[in-house]
Amino acid sequence: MPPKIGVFSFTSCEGCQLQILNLEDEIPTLIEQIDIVNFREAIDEKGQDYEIAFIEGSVTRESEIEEVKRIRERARVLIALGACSHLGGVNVLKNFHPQGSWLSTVYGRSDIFSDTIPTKRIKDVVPVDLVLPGCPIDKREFLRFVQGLLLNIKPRLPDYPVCVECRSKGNVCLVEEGKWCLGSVTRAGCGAICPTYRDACAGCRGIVEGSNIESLRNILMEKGYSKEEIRDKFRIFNGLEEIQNLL
Amino acid sequence: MSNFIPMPATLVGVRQVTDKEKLFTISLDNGKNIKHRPCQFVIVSISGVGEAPISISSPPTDSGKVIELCVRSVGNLTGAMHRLSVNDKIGIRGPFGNGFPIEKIEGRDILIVAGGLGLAPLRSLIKYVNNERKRYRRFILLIGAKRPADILFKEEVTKWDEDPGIETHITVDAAEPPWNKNVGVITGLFKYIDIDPLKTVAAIVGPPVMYRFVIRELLAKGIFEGNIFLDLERRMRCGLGKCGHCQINGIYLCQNGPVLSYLEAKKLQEAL
Amino acid sequence: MDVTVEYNDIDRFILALQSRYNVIAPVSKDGRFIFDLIDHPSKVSPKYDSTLLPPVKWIYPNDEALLEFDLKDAAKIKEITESNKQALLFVHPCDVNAINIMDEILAEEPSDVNYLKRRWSTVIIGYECLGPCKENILCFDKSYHIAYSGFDLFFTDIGERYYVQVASSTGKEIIEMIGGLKKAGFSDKTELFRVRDERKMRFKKSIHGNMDMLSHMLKEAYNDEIWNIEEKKCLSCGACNIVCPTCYCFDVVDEICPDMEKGTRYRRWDGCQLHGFCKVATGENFRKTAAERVRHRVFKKEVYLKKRFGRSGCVGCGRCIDHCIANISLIEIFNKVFDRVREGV
Repeated sequence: MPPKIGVFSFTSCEGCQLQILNLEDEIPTLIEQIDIVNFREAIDEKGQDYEIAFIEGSVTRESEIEEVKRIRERARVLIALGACSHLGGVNVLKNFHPQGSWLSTVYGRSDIFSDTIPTKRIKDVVPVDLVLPGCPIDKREFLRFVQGLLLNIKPRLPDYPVCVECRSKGNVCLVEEGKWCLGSVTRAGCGAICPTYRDACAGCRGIVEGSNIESLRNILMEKGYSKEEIRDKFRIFNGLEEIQNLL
Repeated sequence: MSNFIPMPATLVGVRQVTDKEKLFTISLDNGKNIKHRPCQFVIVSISGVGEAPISISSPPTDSGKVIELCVRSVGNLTGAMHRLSVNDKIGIRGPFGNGFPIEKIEGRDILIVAGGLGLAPLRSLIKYVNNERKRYRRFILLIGAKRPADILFKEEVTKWDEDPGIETHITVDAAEPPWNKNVGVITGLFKYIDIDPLKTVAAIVGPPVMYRFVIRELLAKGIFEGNIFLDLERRMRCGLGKCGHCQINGIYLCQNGPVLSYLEAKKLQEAL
Repeated sequence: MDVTVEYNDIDRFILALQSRYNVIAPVSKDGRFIFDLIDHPSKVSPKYDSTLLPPVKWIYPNDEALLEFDLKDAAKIKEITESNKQALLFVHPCDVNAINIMDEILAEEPSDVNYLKRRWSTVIIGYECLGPCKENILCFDKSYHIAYSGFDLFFTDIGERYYVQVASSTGKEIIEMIGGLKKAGFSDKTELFRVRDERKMRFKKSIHGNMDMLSHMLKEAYNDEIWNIEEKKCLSCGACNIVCPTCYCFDVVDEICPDMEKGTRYRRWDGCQLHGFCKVATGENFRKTAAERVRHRVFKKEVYLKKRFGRSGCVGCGRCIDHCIANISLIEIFNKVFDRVREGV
């Protein structure tokens, strides 16, 4: 029996769902092995009998809390899909500003979306079994996760930083050029796609175990970045992580 | 041929040893015997899952063409092994490592100290010495586990315990009522044994924290550092002395170990 | 018999080489250089300082396939070893020496067949350094700025032309294939000796200590404070390992095809500076701190490999220094180790 899978979306751009659909070559063989019962961006069916739930997006409204809890009750395995779900994502940025101020900056008025709450990660609401990180997720990593679930193997995320993949590609290091980049403290697995295209790693896959944030902060300060600027870079994706006191 | 290619093998037996460990009996599909020494290891391969080093629990003198591996499910590879059953296929590379210097210690008193899962590799040596009993003098076994239920190979341990030719002492960290043997750490067993330090060779395997305390006891009894043997554990990927993970200072444990004398190990700052 | 190649004949030389080999040569990339497969001689930059990755990575590539497996039939294993004829062009002496070291390490039994097959099908064409290529080098201190062996051909710029030392039968075949090259004459040889003689005036030592004593000095400093200072700086990012021409540690990973029927086992570059490098499945980490890991990297090159092969495992190319954004420098560490003894610590 192919496992029943649901893909759910909360506050996000839904780009991670799109990444799954971008597996164009693999989808025909993939759907023979899994039974997708709920995936709004792809199918009409709204099945509630899934065993594996992928949750994309963060929680930014009270009503979403209950929905997430309901999914958790039904799913044997709950997987946080993408940075919003895993880290809160860029949605966390609003937590650092008074509500009225960001509402009027973004929407031009502060009297809408009265039910909005400070952004929460899925793990702040319910226990999460596995994390598939990234903004967006890496589609091949999604495939590896599904394969792991089918074979009963815990999918292994790289436990080393983006630098390993970046240097392995023979890229010129952005920090060496005096620019900022969080690749040295961020979990690899993305193939260092941003620095490969000469854009800084903003840390979307989360801080890797054993990283030395203080040292990176000192290095960036020597390059002329202020403490506030560095803190803001870390806040792009890691605003809710327990590293803020190091910055 | 590349040294990364595993030999196809078949599980001819799978048996639950405790609630955490299973014993796998394996034969090579090419019909050959894995000629190994006690305390050598193989690398088990499961296609799509990966590879992991596992020490061999059976002695080389056992007739037939099988080896036994005692495995606790801790990672993906060992977890996948636990889901296999008889007639399933796996891959085997090896045997690797130096193994125990069985020839050098002939005619000596043998003292074996096995803590927890340490009995898995040491069983190969215990059974070897037991099979070749006349080649050795006294045979002393100290076995420790967390709880009585965690003792590996319970029937064999009982048999060894009842064998008048083997001086066996068993302890557990904590025990429930029917337990009538020792309770406490393994070093507590040393007070029961009286050894001839000049004639004794010791083999120790256990969790990393155990070594220091056991070695201290053995040295206090006057055993020569070169006659204390340890079977260490490290991460391993290749078994070929290349991948770097098992390096302890200047040595590769997969090639120069896993058995080191304390005399060798104490010169390696990273060993203990 | 050695030959000379005129500057303006170099394109013809490379084109002819391309007819028989995949030519891997230094090309510019974002203001730096890297060894890459070239499609045209005009891409080649013979005058380069150092490359982002060392040329040996073309013999020891990342994510190298080791075998193919079948998920439905565990006994079905297909060995993969690849060897396509490639020529590494304009390799600096440090990198030639690094390949020599890798050869020794990986040919030692049980040997690494995947590496050796690639190595046997690789032609190495060296390029003499007549002066330091950049700052942060230790090649001169270690006498690795000169390569005595490990190449098929070796280019030295003697003005208007290159002196090409022909060092192997493969090198001789290449010269014959290219054809029309002048035999090196007396004046060419005189010029070669002259530029080589001037070389030692251009290089300066980076380390103020007797390099033969380094291994002993390091052993003395095993428990020194210096490693703790490096720990505060070290990001454990592994950049130094990845760019090193004599780092060969690897991990092994299985990748499964989408059809869930077949897959490939790869080896992936790994690094001893990474936090999880010595972590086992039960969670124990046998080299927990960055201090221990930095020390291990230095000791591996200067103590352990030196003991095994009789010479330092670091060729002094300085890539690990150039590319450490935390400014951890082997030069600084070595000088500190010598200072420490001088100060009688």
